[in-house]
Amino acid sequence: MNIADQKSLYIKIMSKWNAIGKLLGRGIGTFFALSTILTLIEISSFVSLVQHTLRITTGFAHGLAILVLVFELGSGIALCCRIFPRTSSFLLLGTIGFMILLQFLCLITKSAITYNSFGILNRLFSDYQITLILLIASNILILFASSFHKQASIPSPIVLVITLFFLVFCDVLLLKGYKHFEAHHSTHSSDIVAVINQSALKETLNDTVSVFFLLQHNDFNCPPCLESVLELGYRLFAVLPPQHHSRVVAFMCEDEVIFNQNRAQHWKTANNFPFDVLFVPKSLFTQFHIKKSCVVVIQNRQKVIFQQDAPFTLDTMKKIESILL
Amino acid sequence: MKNVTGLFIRSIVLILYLSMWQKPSFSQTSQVQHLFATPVRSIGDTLFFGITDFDFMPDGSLIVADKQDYRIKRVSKTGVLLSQTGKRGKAKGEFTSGPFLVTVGKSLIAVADFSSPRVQLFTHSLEAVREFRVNGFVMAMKFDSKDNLWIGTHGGLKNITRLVKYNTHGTIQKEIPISHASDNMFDNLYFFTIIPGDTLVVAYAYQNILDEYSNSYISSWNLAFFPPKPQYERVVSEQGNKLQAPTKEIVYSICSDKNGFVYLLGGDYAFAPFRDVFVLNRNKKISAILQLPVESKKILVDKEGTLWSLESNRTLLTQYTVSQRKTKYHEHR
Repeated sequence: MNIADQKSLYIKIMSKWNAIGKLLGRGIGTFFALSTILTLIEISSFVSLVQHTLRITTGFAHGLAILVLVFELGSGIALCCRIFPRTSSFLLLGTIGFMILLQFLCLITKSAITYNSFGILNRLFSDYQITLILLIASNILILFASSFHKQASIPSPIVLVITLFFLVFCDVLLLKGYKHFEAHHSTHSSDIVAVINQSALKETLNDTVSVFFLLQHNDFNCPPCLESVLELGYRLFAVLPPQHHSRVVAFMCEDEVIFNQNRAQHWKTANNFPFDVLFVPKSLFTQFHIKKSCVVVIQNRQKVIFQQDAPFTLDTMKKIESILL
Repeated sequence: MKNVTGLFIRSIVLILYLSMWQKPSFSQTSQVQHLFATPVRSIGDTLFFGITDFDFMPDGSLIVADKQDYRIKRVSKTGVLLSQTGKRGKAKGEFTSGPFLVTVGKSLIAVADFSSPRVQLFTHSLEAVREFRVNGFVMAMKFDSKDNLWIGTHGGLKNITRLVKYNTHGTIQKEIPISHASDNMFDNLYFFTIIPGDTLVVAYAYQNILDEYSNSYISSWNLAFFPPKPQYERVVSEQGNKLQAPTKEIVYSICSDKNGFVYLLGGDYAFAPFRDVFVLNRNKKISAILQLPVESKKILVDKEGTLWSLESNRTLLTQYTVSQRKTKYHEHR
């Protein structure tokens, strides 16, 4: 095969490469547009994640979250429909970069139990899988950057190989880093479930969905926090059939007021809380990295699919009801 | 060079200023008595779940606001439960977030809900009579000798922080703005007691200031041994707002006896935090320091002059007799 033939073969291969790139671009665009819509359905979780991870005000977190989601949705749709494909691929790459950064910060700063960047889709993937998806998507966008031109150019083989090596190197580094942080700093779902599984609480885990109230009595000096915890309890008791009442349990952390099971039981009686209230030592809450009373929803004994700090909004209550039913 | 000299002079001035409040003038404290508290009895434990306030009935029994139990309880001095009322709720005689403050008048008992503007009036046999609402939250509450109910309100802002005098029907008789309130909500956290002559003495949790009011503001003075302001730290609120918040408290509780002596439970800056009770005479000077054996959440002196202290996870009320031994401040240290 002479040089001309080799060149012609390379051009043929790269034409297919560009075609695959275009297809993958559409796929990624669709996936992220869809995930943005699903995130918009549960936007409060994403806002909470942004706020707690970046430690910014609620208003600023709202603005930033909406801005990111608008960019993600816009660039996703544009990439899918091939409108300004190169610009939109760069925009999408930027939002993916932001999300990867957010996920790492979230892990390091122990700011949230669940990483809610994909809305409802989060329930299908573990946090590690989400990181993997984000990395793969970003790799595709970088690797097939040349395909996103309206008139796709043929990339140089050397540039392609160097980019590939660089991406693999970065991915391995990031994934190893993620595993390391998860092992040492994790506040993620696997952590909380692992703690529950190791303790006497494992019997409270349900095969389908369990709702846990993780309560610190000190937080009830804020009346709206107490009111919302009780309100959610009453609502869940009303919507769940009696045989499913065991799916909801409250854990009351040891403190100067609640220092034994009798006191926890008295709190339940005095407040007419409809579900079991179990007294747990402070060490367990320390392991959970719980800073504020919250509600967590655990699916199939393994994954926290929803978490929200008190006070709970009406939206939070409705969301938990919809997950349970 | 000028900057260095300026910095040096400023440092010297600061050190002198700090040393002034750390070492109080001898004339103020040379006659300080060291009092000893001997426990007589403790009541409660399993009877109470989380007391926030208590007061004495005319017959000497105690009325207790048990916030955790959403009840007010009348107990004898020996710890026998005589009667109780209340539950969680919004109806008459019920408490939304638990009873927070309680004070006994000649004919009625006033109870304020926790973190709420709601005040309920009960008869001495614990029957709910009526309720009314104040502007802001209730911070402190006491009946005076003429059976007027004085309520200290707090709403974060300066203009809502005031002493309001109500009659037993819940009608406002008088309003006095708190003199050292500001738009910093922490400055507005205060307690008061009423000494004979219906003079109100106000102490602030985060300011070393004591105010005196009768039908209007009279005067203010500072407390020896304590810094003018506590330590502040930058914190982030639940809403993500950054603010400066105090990390230590100056005064934790205030009460008075029938002779007009004012008792202040010292906070973090006391020699023994939350255990030292500073007794102020009518000349507004610290005349005695009483050290409790355990930390207290609230103190109150009954008609017989014995001191009651709320202790042990807010579940125990301990009665103390007080004995005297004259000592100099430096000996005490």
